[in-house]
Amino acid sequence: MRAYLAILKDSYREARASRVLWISLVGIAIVLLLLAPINLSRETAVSLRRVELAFPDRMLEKVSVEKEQDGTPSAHLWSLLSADQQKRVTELMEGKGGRSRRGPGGGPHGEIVQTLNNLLKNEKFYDASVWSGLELSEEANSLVDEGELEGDTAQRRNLLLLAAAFPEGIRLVDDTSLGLYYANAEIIGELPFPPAQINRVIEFGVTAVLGFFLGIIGVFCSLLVTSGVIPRTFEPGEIALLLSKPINRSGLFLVKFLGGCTFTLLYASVLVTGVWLLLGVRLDYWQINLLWCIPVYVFLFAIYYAVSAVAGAVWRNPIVALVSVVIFYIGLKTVEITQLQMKREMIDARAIREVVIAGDDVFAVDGDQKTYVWNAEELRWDERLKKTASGMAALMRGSLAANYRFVPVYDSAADRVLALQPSAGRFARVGPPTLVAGYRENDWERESLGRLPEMVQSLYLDSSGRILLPAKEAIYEYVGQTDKEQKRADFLNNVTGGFFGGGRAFRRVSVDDMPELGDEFASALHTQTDDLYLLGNGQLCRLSAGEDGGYRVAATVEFDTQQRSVVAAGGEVCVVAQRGGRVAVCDAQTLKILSDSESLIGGNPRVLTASPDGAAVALLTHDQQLLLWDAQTGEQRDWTPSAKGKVNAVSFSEQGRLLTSDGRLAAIEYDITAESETQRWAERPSWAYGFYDSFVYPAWSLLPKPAELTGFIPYVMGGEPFPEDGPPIATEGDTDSLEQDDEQFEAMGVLTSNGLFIGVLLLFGCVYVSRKDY
Amino acid sequence: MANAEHVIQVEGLKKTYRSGILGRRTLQALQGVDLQVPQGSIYGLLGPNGAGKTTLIKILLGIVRKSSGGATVLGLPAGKPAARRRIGYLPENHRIPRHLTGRTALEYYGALSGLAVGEVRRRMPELLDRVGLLGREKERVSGYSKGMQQRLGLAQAMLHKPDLIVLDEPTDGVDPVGRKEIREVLRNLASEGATIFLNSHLLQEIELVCEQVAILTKGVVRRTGSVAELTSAMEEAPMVFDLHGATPETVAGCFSGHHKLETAPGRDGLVYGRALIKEQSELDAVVDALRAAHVSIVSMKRRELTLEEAFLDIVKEEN
Repeated sequence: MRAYLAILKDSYREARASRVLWISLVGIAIVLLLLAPINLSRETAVSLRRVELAFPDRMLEKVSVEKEQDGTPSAHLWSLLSADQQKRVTELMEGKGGRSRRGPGGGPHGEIVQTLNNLLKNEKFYDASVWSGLELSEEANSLVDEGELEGDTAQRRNLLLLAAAFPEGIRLVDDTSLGLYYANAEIIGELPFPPAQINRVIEFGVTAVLGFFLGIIGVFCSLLVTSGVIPRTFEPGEIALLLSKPINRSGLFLVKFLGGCTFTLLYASVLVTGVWLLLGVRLDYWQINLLWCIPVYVFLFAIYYAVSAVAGAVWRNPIVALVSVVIFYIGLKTVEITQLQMKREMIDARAIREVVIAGDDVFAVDGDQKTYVWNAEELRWDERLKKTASGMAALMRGSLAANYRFVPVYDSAADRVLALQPSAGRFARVGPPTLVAGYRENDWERESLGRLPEMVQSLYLDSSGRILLPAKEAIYEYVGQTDKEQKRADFLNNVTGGFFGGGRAFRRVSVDDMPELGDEFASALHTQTDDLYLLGNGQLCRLSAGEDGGYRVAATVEFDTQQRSVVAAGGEVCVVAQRGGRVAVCDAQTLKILSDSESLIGGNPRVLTASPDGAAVALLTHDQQLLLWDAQTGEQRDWTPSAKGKVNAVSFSEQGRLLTSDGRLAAIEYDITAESETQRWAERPSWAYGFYDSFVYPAWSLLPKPAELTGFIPYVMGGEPFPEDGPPIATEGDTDSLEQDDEQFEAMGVLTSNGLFIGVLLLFGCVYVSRKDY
Repeated sequence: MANAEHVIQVEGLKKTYRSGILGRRTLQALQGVDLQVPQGSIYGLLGPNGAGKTTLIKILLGIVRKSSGGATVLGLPAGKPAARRRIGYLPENHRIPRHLTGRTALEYYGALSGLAVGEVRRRMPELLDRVGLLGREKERVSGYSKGMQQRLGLAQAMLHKPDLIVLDEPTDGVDPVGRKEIREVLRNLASEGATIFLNSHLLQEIELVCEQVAILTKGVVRRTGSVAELTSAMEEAPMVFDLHGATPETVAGCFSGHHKLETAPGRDGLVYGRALIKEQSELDAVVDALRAAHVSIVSMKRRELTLEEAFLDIVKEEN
């Protein structure tokens, strides 16, 4: 052991003797010293933050309605705007805001926030006659009572009055704000996010800084310095001397490898500890977990260094060792990008996610939400119900639609398929969807039937053929409209961004007491009873239609969690599956919970559906697990077709046959009573699938994924990785859809796969040096 | 069979190097080496380049694996860690890491040999003094001359007081004074009971310091024995004459053709002669002939061969 410790110590000495290390350390010290004067100061909030203008469309709506009514806050604010500003706000109201830019101040949303903040500084903002009559907070009342105010106090009062006047659009989230200072000089007076989110923003910043200085610069410098350690060790003059000592060759190689890692250890320790101390002392952000970055980056370095070490031992040349790492990196990136692109653009985009039987035709919807009909002669899927938008609009719609299922529903009476097409609202949000239809007689060409008055995620056909659309505020029924009405609705759609676009096509069928569902709710139709089941805010309700066709709450049950859920009802049961894996089976009538399992499924649920004949309920999860329940007894069935391959879709035909897809281009029908496959509609995959399956995927699986290690930093600090496009500053109205693919960070998986790669390489290195004659 | 008196015992040792794709190209470096190195001796290994000397040493140290045959060192199979623990080795063209100083290098190699740092530091002054590096131990190895590096290499080989010291060209790059000092060190080590196995191209070095010598050519040991044994074993040691009162022509008439006479005029009318005369009867006949020709024999002796001559002769013989 003494000998190996000596080798390790020698590696440390070697690292310490390196000029690159000292230059790097001086560089780190300079960066830390430059960052040291940064400071945050908490002050009373006097400006409106972007996240606090949660619903700009609702606020603008109110302004547009009330701006002519003298004495209202809207009219007062409107009068304070210059002609140019009024013109611009009018454009924004009409949805002509232009392209949304990234960043806190970007896009129409940011523009409105900026306009309002300018107004808050306006001396004429406060007019007692305008703002009286509002329900004010205690603080607002006391500021109003103080009379004439100036500066920040006046601005604070104005902010509170603004929030009180537009509660439907503005939700103040914090009384204080953070200011950014550098050596007591103000850099940003008010940061554009609430103080409560400062930690996540710091974590994002730290991840970015460490990712650059450690993940890129650090690893590169370390490789530059250490690539010569092992080749030098195995040079004839040095190895002969070392091997004459009573040490093991594999031990020598492994300890030299570990010794090489000491360079990164030193580098990472200094930088991370420096950042940790800086954040703690200057920003009062003491996050001990930040120190986990040190081993994480050493581990990241170890992946590349393992390649360098083996190449160094084999060829005994530092340049060859370094070039080997570069080639390995390029190869790794090539495989990674190829796999990612092929999976995203080909495998996932074309994978069948929905299967629907429409009379004699079979419809399938792929990952890109393109709809296809099966061509039995050519044995391929032909696109139908083609999207009407193109170019930028299609891209925008595609992006917004990613969170929603596009599920065609077959209306046999009219021989058409119906679907809800997500629409873009203003401010880069999803607006109420449009009901679209494709008729067989028109070769399933997509046409619009009208835009919903509010957000709806599902449509149902009841036993009498009524098209039902449950929303947060009401349950709607599509009743159709004339061409003239349709044209007028389209016009209003464009002008109001969808608020008045529904026209007379939809009528409310819910009666008075709609339950408080919240923005995120799930719904289901019981096809035998025509009862609707709504689940939101932790409450499951059954609504029954009366003789007048109006829906009323017939039963409710409380759930103790408010996780995002999916629900399905059929036969004697109603099944609820929640994010996190909880599955509850309830009595369809009384909603009494019959069974409740906290973690029945591994992944999050994606689709829950009941067979029209009331025989079964099927649940599909994001990890392609398929579960079946007997809808009469509520018992889970043993048989599922999941063992026969990946399952990517689930639905039932009119006859109660289970419809799934294989995760590729095949739709499959099963007889769940006979527990057998009855039909398959499969397009022959192109050569690209073969290339992916035979080369790209195996290579990607076998190779390590060092890039995934960067996900560790937010994982150890905040518990979950950041999205690709920035820190997670949540705003109200953001969706948390179950349709989005689960991309959970698998810490152990990342460690295992990368660790395995290092292990295999080092094993190869050990075998090589043990058998080599030096 | 291992003999307790023999520190190194080699029997029928063979080594074949393989190279190329699937190892189809072969090179037979050792073709059945037999060797015994007695305990406490300074044993020299001689041989031309490519004879297999370094391969033999590396097999003894476990750096290269043998193909067949047997080799024991200090009574243990060659290459075993237990054996290596008792061996000090100075390789040819060795490279001590440049970031080390003389002191840290000895600490490093001492630890590799299993010594505690304290023990290394205790032995260091005497050792450094012995190899002439005392006072230079705090300097970086990168600043050492070739000779200093050689001395430091020798110091690390002696550091753990090994029973066997294997030296490959220990005086390479060392000045004449340093060589003398190193020879002295080796003699002292031998007197302390250590066995020294020396491989050097400098035949004079071997001749001066080694008690026993083995000559290895083409992977086979051709001769072993003391230097005297090796040189006296040569049959063609020439007779050297200093003659007076004769011309080279007269002298030539006294020798027959196969004596390979070489003559040269000397000072004061002397003639130097050098001839290969094996048998005493032939020598008597030559003396009689010279005297009959009135040539005075000022001196006559059989010249002893040097090790170099013996070595070259053996190598020539093998070729």
